[in-house]
Amino acid sequence: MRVYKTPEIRNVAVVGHGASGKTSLVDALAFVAGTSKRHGSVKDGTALTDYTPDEIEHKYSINLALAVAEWMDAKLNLIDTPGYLDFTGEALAGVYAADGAVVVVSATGGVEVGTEKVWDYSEKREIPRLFFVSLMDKEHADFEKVYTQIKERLTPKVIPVEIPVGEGPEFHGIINLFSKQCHLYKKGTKAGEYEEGDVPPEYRERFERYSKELIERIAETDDTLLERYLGGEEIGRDEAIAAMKAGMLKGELFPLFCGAAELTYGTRALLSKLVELIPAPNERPPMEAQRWGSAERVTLKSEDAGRFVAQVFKTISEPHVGDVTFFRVHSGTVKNGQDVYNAPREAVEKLNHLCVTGGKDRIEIPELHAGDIGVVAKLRDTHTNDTLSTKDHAIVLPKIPFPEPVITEAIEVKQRGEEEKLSNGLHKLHEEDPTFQHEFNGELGQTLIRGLGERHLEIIVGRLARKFGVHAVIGKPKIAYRETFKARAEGQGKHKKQTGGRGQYGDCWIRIAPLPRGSGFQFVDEIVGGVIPRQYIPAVAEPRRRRRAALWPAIPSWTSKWSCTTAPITTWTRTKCRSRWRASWHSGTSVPTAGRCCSSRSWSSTCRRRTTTKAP
Amino acid sequence: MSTPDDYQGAVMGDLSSRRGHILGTEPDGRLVKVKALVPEAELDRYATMLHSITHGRGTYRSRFHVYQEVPPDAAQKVAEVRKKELEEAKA
Repeated sequence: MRVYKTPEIRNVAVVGHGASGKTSLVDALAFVAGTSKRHGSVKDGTALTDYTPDEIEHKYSINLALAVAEWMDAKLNLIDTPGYLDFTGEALAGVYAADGAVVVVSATGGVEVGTEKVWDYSEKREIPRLFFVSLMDKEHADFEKVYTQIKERLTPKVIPVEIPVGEGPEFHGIINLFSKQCHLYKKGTKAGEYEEGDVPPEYRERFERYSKELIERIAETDDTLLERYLGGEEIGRDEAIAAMKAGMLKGELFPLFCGAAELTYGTRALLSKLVELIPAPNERPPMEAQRWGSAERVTLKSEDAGRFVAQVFKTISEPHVGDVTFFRVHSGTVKNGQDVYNAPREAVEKLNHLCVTGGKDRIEIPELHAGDIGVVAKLRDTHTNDTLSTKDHAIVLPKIPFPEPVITEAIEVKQRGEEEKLSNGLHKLHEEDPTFQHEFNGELGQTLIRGLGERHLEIIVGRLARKFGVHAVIGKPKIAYRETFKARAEGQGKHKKQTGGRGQYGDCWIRIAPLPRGSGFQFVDEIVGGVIPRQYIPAVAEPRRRRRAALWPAIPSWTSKWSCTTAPITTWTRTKCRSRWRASWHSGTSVPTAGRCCSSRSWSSTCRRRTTTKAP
Repeated sequence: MSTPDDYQGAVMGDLSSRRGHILGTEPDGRLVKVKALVPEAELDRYATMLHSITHGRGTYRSRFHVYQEVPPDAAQKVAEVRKKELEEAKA
């Protein structure tokens, strides 16, 4: 593959609801363009961009993946994204790496919740979009219905530029409203070849209605064009395309295409329009960034003349390779083997074996120009959402706003002794996927994992086993219950021990009282006149003082049945109370142990009847 | 949490059945925002439930608010579960 310059690059995210045919479309586009040599299929596990064992097994995309299609002297970087909401972070990352998006809507399912979600992402990033009505060859495909749904639920600015000939199993052609020609496909077409023909007579009326609508809508976005159109002048194809591109950049037009990716119908027209309508990186507005270590704002244009700045939007660890980093160059160029700088992590990274990828295949490339997307393996300290720049021009880009996790589960190793491997594995997985988080909760004694859905966490557990050899099970997270006092109480505890050796004696009275919320624990010493030598007081006070740290784990730790750190009913941590104490003492036989024991005893007998359980 | 208004009734009904206390609602574009206090124990797998009630369109965030007294019957259950856990840990 040759090196492409900035104006020849198109970065396109392919987004949509689950099972709307994104991966099939990407595979077909790369194959029809001739860049990929094999027409794969999701069903058989051979699709270009679904190559990880997880994806082959489940038959849906989990990771974003890149494919390249070289068409009309341009390079299309196609970013295939998962549609399921559990992996929506990947779709978001894809949108942030792209300059335009193809929103795939299934001809049978129409606009679904996943479609709305990716629409919102692209809306936020303000990238030009086009719609592709996929699966036109499937039973119950309905182009008109999908068009109406898009108009009502996503944007009234959608405008068809193609209409299908036949629907469902009869689907066999597309009328191109720009060229006014009909593309007819033959059964068994391999790479989207078609015969050009006139619009069939039965479609004449529909064609004219849609053509009129198209040209009017294009003209509306440009005053001089509108004048000429109203003056009865014909607007040529190239002019119409240029006006449409300008309209898309302003977010005023969203063209609608259709096709059947598995049959490769409609792929050639889409490839050409992607090249013609999606802006090159340098046609997009500049990016705002910040100089590292100062408040200075910098604007970055996707131009070779600028200094090198790139953003990592995805990392994935692959067997036998290690960590693979996907980045988009936002400014400047980068050469194979160049040293770059990750400022916040203070790490110099060498970009050895700079590559572009088509699915799992990596093709080494001597350099990347501004706006291009590249891949490099074995970076040590660089993770998703990091910015790479140069040491003398250290820059940080605004982070990709990944969604927050919504569900929490507890995770436990099956085999004792693998706890450390588990925590290492979880940490690595978090670096790959910022929408996955984990922590050890000392109060619960559980490792908690958080993600975007049950499916997301199941995949994480699968990866732990496959990549890190840790077999773990998911369970319910516990609730950190607490106990507290509801009323005043008093009690006494006596400790005597005279079974040989030095005798032990302790006697201790405790009074407890509830305090207002948030006051924590107070210990009031009511010993007066030195009845007890000072050095023994800590021994009595200590157990109770320990529980002032509200997050102490509830582990019974004293010789007596109840320790002061544990609550009597549930043994969860106790909270907010005051205890006052006094004691009697025998010279010679009172030792710290005795103090602790009698203190514990009086404590537990006092508080057993006086506590209540609290829940968060 | 926020949801399209078509599902507001169903979502609020579900929150009440979770011992939730609804603090208020406010419109937010096409969505409705609902603020509520719900015991943590009732929020187990709430994301999945919310997803199915709202067909994937509802979202929520939860934060710790305050500790509150558990009703006596629930407290007893908590104590029993905990007792069993401790016995198992010993065994």
